[in-house]
Amino acid sequence: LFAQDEDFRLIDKFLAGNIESFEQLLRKYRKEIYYFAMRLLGNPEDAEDVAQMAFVNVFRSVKNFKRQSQFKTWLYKIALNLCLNHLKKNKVTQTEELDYTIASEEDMSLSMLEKEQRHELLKAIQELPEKQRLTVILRTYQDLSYQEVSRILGCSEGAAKANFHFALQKLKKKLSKVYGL
Amino acid sequence: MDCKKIQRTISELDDFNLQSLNPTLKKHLSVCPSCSDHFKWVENFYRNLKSVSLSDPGEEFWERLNRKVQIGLMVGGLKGAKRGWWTYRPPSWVKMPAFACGIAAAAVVLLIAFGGVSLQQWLGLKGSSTQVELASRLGGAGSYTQEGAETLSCPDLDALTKEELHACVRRLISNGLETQEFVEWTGDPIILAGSEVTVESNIRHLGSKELERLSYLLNQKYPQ
Repeated sequence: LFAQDEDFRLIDKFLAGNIESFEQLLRKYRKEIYYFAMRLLGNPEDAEDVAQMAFVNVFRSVKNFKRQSQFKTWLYKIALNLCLNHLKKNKVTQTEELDYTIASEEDMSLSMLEKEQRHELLKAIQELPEKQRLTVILRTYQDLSYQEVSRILGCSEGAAKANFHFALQKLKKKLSKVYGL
Repeated sequence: MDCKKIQRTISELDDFNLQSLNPTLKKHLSVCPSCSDHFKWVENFYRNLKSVSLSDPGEEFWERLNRKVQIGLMVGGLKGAKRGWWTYRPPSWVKMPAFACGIAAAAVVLLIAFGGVSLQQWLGLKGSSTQVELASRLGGAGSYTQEGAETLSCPDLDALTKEELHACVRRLISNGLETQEFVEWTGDPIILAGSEVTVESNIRHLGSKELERLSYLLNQKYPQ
């Protein structure tokens, strides 16, 4: 709630003409939104474009923001729509590319087996049906609550939980060999 | 107890700390290998996913993103999928040849800058060409350029002052050789009274590419 109030305060300041508050909001969420787009699109350049457009669209229409939801979920929703539009146009998600952009310093410490496991994990997530994939990404990578996930995806909390559960079941089936469980 | 329900509850957990689980669930996990396995799997899955972090592109990238957002807000043209030229990225099949061309261009620039090779030599042009020779080389034998230069007996371009030449070429290129604009151009006071017609006639025969090359050569000869 504190974070939400803080965002609303910054929006008010921005609407009153304070450019610094716009910068603050941008700095606060830019990494989250970029990484989110990156996980969905798998390509750093496209993710950068989407992040840019998401912020531009958000700040351009912020005066119409009704504040019935958090600023963060609204921002995510806009970024998500941009990503989905992009995916529709390009019809490819580059798992391979995503794999390469994973932190290289971390890469050094991983064994071949771990790298293979990680690759399989990313591939399996990319192969999930859209809603399930989005739920997994928002819930695990982006660390959002079910309530936030449901608002972003425009579904009930129960549906978000069900999506996540079914996604896990599918992943478990696919990855049981990889993880040896 | 219904294992399906239990497993669904496990999938929805926020915290995988065994101590914080509710007692009924904890008790069930201790006696049911299937649910216990599911618990371990989900816990392992979370841990694995969270360990997969994307590399940070660096402060320079974030600052660039800030600037791009600011530019987007200022120019007001980024809504929708339309991209500005500054966001254009060539497809991968263009990238390799473009990279090779870039390397070759850089090598030529270095050769000219440090290797004592002049641009004229590079283009195969001798130092002091007459206008006909120059026109022939620019446009090729029998081209309009050569024809124009030969038949109109125009004064040598060298006769014009540096400022006049620059002004002519700049004007020609910016006007894109459109006839109407050309008429305006002929009345330009920059052109010397005596050579007005001949210069106009001669240059009018040049194509846009030839003009670009001519402009390049003139700039070499009379650096701004």
